[in-house]
Amino acid sequence: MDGNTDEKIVFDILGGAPDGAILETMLICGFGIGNVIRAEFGAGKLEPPAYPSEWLAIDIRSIACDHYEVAGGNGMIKYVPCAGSTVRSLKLAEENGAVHRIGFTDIPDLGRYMLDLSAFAEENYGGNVIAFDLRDPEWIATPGRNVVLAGDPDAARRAGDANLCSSELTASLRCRCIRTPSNIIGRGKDSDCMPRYSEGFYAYARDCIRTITSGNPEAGRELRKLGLGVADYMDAARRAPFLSSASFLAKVDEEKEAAADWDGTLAMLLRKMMAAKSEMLKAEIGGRIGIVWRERDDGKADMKKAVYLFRKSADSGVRWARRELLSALWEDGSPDALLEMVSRAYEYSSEGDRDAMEFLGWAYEDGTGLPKNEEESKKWLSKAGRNPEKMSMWDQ
Amino acid sequence: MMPDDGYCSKKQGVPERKPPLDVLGVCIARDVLGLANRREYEVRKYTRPSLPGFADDERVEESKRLTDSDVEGKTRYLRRRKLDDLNRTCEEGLLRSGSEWLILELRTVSYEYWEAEYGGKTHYFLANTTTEREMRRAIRRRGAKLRSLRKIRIDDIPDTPMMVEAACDFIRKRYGDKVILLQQKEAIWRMDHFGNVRLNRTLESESMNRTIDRYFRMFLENLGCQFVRMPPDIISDAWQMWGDSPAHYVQEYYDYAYACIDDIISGIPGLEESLDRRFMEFSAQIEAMRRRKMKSRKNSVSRVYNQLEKTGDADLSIKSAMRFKNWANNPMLEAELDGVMGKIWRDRTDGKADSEIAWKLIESSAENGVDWAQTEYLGMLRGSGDYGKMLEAAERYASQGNNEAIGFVGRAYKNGEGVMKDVKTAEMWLEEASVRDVKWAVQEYMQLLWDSDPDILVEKAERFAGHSAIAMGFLGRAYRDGRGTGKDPEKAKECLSDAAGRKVEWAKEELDALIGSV
Repeated sequence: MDGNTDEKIVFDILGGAPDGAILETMLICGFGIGNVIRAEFGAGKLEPPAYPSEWLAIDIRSIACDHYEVAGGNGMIKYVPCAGSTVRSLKLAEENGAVHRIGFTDIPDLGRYMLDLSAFAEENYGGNVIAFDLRDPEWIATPGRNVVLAGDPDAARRAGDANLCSSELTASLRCRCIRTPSNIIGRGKDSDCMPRYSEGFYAYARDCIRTITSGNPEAGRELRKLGLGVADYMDAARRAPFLSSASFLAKVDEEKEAAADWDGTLAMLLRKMMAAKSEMLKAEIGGRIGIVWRERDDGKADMKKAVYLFRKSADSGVRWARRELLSALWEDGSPDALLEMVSRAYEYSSEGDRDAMEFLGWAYEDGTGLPKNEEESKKWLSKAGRNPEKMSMWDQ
Repeated sequence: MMPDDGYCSKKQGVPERKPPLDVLGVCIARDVLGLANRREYEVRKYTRPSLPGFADDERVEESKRLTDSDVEGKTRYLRRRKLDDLNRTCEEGLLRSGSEWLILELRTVSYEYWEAEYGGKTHYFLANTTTEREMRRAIRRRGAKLRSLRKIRIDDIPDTPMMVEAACDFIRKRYGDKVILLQQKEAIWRMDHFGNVRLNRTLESESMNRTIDRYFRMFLENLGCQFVRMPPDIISDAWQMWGDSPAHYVQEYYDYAYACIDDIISGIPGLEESLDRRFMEFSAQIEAMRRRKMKSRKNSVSRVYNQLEKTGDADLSIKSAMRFKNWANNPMLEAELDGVMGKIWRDRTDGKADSEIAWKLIESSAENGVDWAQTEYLGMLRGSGDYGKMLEAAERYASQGNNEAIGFVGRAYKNGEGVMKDVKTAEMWLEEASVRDVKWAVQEYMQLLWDSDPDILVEKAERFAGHSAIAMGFLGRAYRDGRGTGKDPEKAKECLSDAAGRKVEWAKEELDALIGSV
């Protein structure tokens, strides 16, 4: 391969409506793009390009997208990918009848179409086929370099469709599939449908493609290792801002100790909250502000505010704030507060929270918010591990 | 029964024995081998590595075999608090184990360690199972004067990279390339008791993951061995947990990892592709769970049983099992729910029990490969006296790797159920089942040897005494009666009291009788 190492590998791309994502990835990785083949299900046999390249990349992302179901004039129904066409344009084409938008898995006879695709790839490219699964990232790196979870329900559905599509294709084609790791981090979006990934991903894609095209007999092992590497990379990238927040919090606590009076502490914490970059960090500081509101002894203590802040903080996932919230609600003592305490304690203990179990135990013992019940109380307390005899050694 | 009356089934051989394993790891490796649908591997030595330099030879936990009760956390030996010393090694134990393969898992690197200075040396101990008071007492018992004691993280231990290298050298020398590294993560996603998956990301779990990832990479580079990947978005399951550790995952993980280990050890052709495909399938499953489109197996099944226990309403639980089955989207879960429904139909006490439906459901569950349902089904066949069918099914399940089925075949040959009595064949099957730790099979096997072949009895009983209390009891009987060996009341007393301590009722009675007679 001495002479060929510098030669650019050119890919034909097969997809429903190959969008920017795969083109951009290929170009960033330094590969060439030959023909772009658009596949519409039910539109008849796919024609191979006049000058096919050596390799074919199947763009799963654009195959497993939503489709328009178009009743053609000739009585045939075909399925056109939504990207790249609009209802208007489809209706304007004279022979077309009704147009509906349906999901990928709603296409009838999907398996047959998948087989058609693999047959096309097999006939024209032999074994030189790579399936490429580019997914919408769930984690997004914000401009402030925080990594946040962007739960997009639509992306969830698409990811499910893509999983189905890639497993069907790789099973029938026996080709290699480059999988986007499920913890992929994106850098926001250019447009509605085109994800941009963080840098590590492109390096991974390039390495994968090179490994596959080099014909290395150990390629399978190599690809698995690359997959391992990129997943670790994304994990590390996600963790980095999160971990640095520990030192941030340590500093906050230090300054809190040093602050002269309660108002000063409050002002400092609010300032820090504004500066905090991640939701988690904001929640942590919010909980600390709650403590100030509860503990200040200059006559301005406000339990309501404290409870509000603890609740918010606990809902954002701060563990210690849960305990504070429960005890604040307990102290409040009003029927509403107690009801909330009990229901929250049950919720948290269902997630294995020891403190919440302990609260339940006390509540039963005391008859606070719950009917007095010795047995239940003992049960919960021992569950919480207050009884050393019963403490589990399995909490590793 | 005559051999030519049509009952005699085609003789299939005893299923091939899987190579024995050693396990260096804590809960994950143990659970993979103990909680998966199949449990075919014999674990010779199971130690908890307190890292690289490994654990020590005398104080590390050494399990004889993994059994069901171990993974449920009921046996005492795993509850004992022990000290793991970094400065010593458990090399000898591993050298002597006689296993071919090693399963390595590195969860302990994320733990805290005690750094204790005494006797002019610094020692390191795992801190998760020992309190400061226990540490101090243990060191005092060694007769050493403690100079300092503090808790540190693994990164504060000097020269850990060197220790990793040393450990890898040892592993390579001992096992060659027959090492499987299990990747490990603290799950940052968590399925609660109702099947909702939430992000449960804490500073602690993230920093633990960072350490684990780093050491995993170090070991992988050093050993260059096979590995089993864990999806980055692995989910922990509230129904699977003891305490609130995020390292007890959804049931599907254990099956996935077990299948990978099985693939690697049996060295199937196209191994890498198969591992890759398994990983892809499993991460798609995990994703579906995270998107709330699918529940974990443990979650669905436990919820059905839990409902039954709480309400006592069998109709209601069957209804919810049906509902879960409709959602399931997972053939294994569907099969398991069939079995659960079958069990409820069979065992319900409200007068509506219907053995016909139960029979059908459990049979379909068994045919689809659910381990416990196969056992139930065989038991039902045996109970109904349909020995021919039982033997046929048992042989089939045994070839699929069901341990209890092997015992069923052995018992059939022993008692002449559906086949000619054949002591030699029965011995073969029952021995295999005993190796795989089927409790009642050990009893049957020992009884068979006791009646037919006392010379071998002592040898075999000694072999199984480690993991089976029943074998220990039989050893005691042999010494007491001088059967297959010389009479030795002292030894007999020792063995019987050991067996009695491990809750074998007849051993207790015989021990009392023995003491009384002396």
